[in-house]
Amino acid sequence: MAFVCALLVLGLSGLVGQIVLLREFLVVASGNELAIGVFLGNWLALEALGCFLAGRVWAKSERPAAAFALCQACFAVALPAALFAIRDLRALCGAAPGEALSLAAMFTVSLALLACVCVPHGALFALAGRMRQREDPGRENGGMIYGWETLGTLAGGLILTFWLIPRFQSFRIVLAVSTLDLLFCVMTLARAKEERSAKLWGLYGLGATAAAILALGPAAATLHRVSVQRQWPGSEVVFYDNSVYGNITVLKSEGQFTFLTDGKIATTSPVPDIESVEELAHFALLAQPRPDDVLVLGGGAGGLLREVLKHPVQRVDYAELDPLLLAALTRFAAPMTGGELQDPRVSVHAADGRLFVKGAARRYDVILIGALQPDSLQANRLLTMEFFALARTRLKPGGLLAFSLPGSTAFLEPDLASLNSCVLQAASGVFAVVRPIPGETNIFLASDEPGFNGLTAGLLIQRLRKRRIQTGFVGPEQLSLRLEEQWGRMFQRFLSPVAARAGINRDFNPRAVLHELADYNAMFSPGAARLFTWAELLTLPRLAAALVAVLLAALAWHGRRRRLSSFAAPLAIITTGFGGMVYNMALTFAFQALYGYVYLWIGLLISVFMAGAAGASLLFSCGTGPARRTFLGLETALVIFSAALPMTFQALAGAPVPDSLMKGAFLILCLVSGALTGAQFPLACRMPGPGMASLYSCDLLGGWLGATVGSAVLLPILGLRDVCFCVALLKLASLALCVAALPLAGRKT
Amino acid sequence: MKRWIARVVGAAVLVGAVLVSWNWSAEKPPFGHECRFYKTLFDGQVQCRLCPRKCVIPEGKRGTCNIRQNVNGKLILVTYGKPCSIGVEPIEKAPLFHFMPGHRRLVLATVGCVLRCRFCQNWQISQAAFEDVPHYELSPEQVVAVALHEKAASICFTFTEPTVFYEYMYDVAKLAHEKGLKTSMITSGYIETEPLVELLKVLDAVKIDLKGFTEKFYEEMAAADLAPVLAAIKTVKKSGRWLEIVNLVIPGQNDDPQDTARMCRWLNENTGADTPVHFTRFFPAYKLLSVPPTPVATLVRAYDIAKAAGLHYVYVGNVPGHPMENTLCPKCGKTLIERQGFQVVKNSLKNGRCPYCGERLNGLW
Repeated sequence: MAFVCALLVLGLSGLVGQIVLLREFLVVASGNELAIGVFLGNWLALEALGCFLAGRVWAKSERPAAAFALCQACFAVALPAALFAIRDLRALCGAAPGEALSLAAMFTVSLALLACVCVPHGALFALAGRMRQREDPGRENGGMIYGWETLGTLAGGLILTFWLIPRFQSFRIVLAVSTLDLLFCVMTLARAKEERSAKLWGLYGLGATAAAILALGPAAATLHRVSVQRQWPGSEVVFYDNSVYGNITVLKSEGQFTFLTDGKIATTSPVPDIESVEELAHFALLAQPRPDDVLVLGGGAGGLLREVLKHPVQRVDYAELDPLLLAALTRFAAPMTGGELQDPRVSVHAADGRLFVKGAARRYDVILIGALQPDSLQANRLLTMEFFALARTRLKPGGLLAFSLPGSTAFLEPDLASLNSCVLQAASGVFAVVRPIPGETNIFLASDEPGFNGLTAGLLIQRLRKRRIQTGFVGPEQLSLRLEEQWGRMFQRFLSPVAARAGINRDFNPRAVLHELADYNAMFSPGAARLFTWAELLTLPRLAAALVAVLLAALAWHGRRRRLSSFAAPLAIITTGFGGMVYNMALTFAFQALYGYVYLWIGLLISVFMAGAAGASLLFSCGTGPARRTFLGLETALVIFSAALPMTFQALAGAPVPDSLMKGAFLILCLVSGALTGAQFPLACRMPGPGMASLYSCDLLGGWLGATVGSAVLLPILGLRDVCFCVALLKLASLALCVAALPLAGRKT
Repeated sequence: MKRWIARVVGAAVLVGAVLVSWNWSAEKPPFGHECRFYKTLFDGQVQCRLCPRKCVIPEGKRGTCNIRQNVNGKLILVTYGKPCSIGVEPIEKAPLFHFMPGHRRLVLATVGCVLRCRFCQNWQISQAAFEDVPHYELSPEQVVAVALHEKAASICFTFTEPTVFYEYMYDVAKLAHEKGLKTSMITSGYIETEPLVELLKVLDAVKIDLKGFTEKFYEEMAAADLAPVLAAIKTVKKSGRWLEIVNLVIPGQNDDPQDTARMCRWLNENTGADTPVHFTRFFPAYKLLSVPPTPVATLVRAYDIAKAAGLHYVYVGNVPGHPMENTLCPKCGKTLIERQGFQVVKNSLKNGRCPYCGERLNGLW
């Protein structure tokens, strides 16, 4: 029982540490979604390294419990230290406060920081195996350990999401985890009678007490305050809190409040970016003869609403995802933000924009998308062809949808041009008219009303005067300037060469995210931007051809030497780890696209996936006999599942079935994908080849590849369907290899 | 043995393939225009004498600006006649507030820059390689023809650092003058005195970005030095060409009131009280993505400091609708030019004089 508890704590503390540090890392990385890939990649790779090294170093250890306790203590100490260091990451990278970090800097510094946390934590898995082996030498325990550890991970995810994050700041959480880990150091030593040591007991006990005092006392608050303030020298951090959706920070400087979400500037008050908010609001509302009902999706507070309210609107629905952001805006309200949120015509909804549109009973004259950049899959969901089709159904006859994208009157570089092109093509595929208004910010007006094509500056100026709108920036001459033909010609000149390559931005093929990330990357290394261009050469047929070539070479090698037998199972585990990560991401992503960002449901989906993995792992660890047939059966099932998954998504997207059934289908898919992924590990432990520690490293390595190559590279390039097919091909190759290489009497000797 | 031979041959084929594909992707040396200010050194190297960096450039390589290349011992401007940006915009966007207010200028830029500002607003072209950016083919004659066709009153060299395409700018400006157009340059002032003096013969107005007033700021945020910029400001003023100064105020980086006061005193002493100074608001750009926008209070404070230092024409920029974007009479304090964003809403000046008190305002009206 104590051993099982130790395994649960192992999984729980790993997951809590990972998520807390990831969220802090994301803030320092200014919400750049590639940072998630870099972080998770480094985390998994280092855990794999720790497990592999421990498997080697302590394979025959006679004191595995002491080593286990030592590694757990190292993890407990390193975790809060890493949190402090991550908050100081810009200084460690030599960057100025508020400066964006290059991917290379993120990679190297996070690798160094996480090494102290992940290597000892990864080693715990191998050491747990060794401890169990000493207690019960004749038994294969890999599956059991894997299962309980996964169950601990599941528990950690649930506790963190639903209890810890809404109540406590990061330092309290990690110090509580450190306390738990140090307590289990004492317990582990107590359990191993031959390895008892009063000194170590005392040391770990003292450590646990100190961590508990820090966690419960004022020290955690001090650490929190000092580390947060170090991130933003020159500004006073007046608010720093986490919601389930992300981090909200408010900086105060000389009477100005700056609101940041995940380290990215959301808005500034009392004086916002006047040009941007005025142009988006006034071009959209002046284009509409009677803008009675307006819907603003994100980014409304902080100027946009104020500008909208200058028009004769009757009702404005404003949907903002994070209630914590709204609370912060209310708490630190300038006259502008306070006024616009309290205006009787404004109804504020703390809801995901897409979900709100889906459920809206009302029809609107104007729908405004406030967020500017599709720099994440989450933000991209408001700029896809599917969303435009949905929004079109919520417009009144003659209604229009307006959104903006980054632009430039000097030069629209190819990645930005591609970003504009893929979203423009998505909108053009839905609306009869899409009118771009190019400038420093490109504004797009989309409608089924053909009249928008002939929109003239004269008409807009006439309405501006008739409505007696006072502005700081958008006056008659600015309206004329923005609608001059020269900008349209320039815009076309930049977009034409990239149109074919840019593609169409869709839910399951988020091209805009790819182009946005390529643009971000070009900022640090213009040459590296070409990598994204080369990466686009990746197509499913090419990947399939490469895979067949590698497979044939491997089989030929095996035919001559017969040495593949011991590699087949680890390779299968790597590809399954890769597939598991891709399934997880694909299911979450598809759910978001279809149902909007419902955080609790996302948590539930991941939990069901983990539960499936843990349950199957524990179930399959019971057997002892030859496992070749079952193993091959699972490989086949994974091939079929991978190939069927995209078709299932398509069917779900188009099926006229009730939401509850659809959501149930998602839960079943999560359970099945988790079970298929988790069941293989205990079986692989009974196959010829490396031991449990190495197999666990392979599993993590596959996960790492899935997080980095799968989510950050293949998904934006290939789209959801082809990524799933890619996994199917990979598993097919793995199956072929297993059929050829695994000996018929596949029992480990 | 056979296996080893096969491996060596295989490796050679692979390396050969990589090298061949590498050469394929490399661009051929572009045709350009010989630069004016450089010195030939030994071993086929040349030293560029255009900007204070004075790059020593080996055969086939380019200077820090990325567009001046040593081709067979000659320094060639590869972007001559190849602008990447051209358009027509109001002069207020520059901002050059005392240079024919309200007129439309033809803006022109090629890729390249000698500075490495972490807050660059046009980094896509200033920091890019020439080969990575599509460009137009426009001779100086064609540029002037476009300006005349678009009814622009002036040609303005801007967006990137114009001094790096010096020869192109010089030829365009010279020709523009011949056709009766005015010319202006928006620059960081990172240029040697001799080429600047020569260039000023064909320019009417210059706006210099004085990015900060400490060597530390220039070194850390722009990888450059302050002293050459100050020397360029003095040179422009001495030449009699119209000069305006812009200081982009970045929170936590160059907003120290003491530095602002020193800067204003220096400007008053070296350029006179009548040189307009703009304190503009920073917005997140390039690598400084999470630095908050400049609080308006900081800009107002800088305005007050500049006024206290005796400067007559001080402006707050990038805050559309702010009253400190307007031009006031330095004598009677009446508002003479009202602005809304990039528009001149009202211009009360009569022949460059205040209609209320008759005071003459400095500028090219």
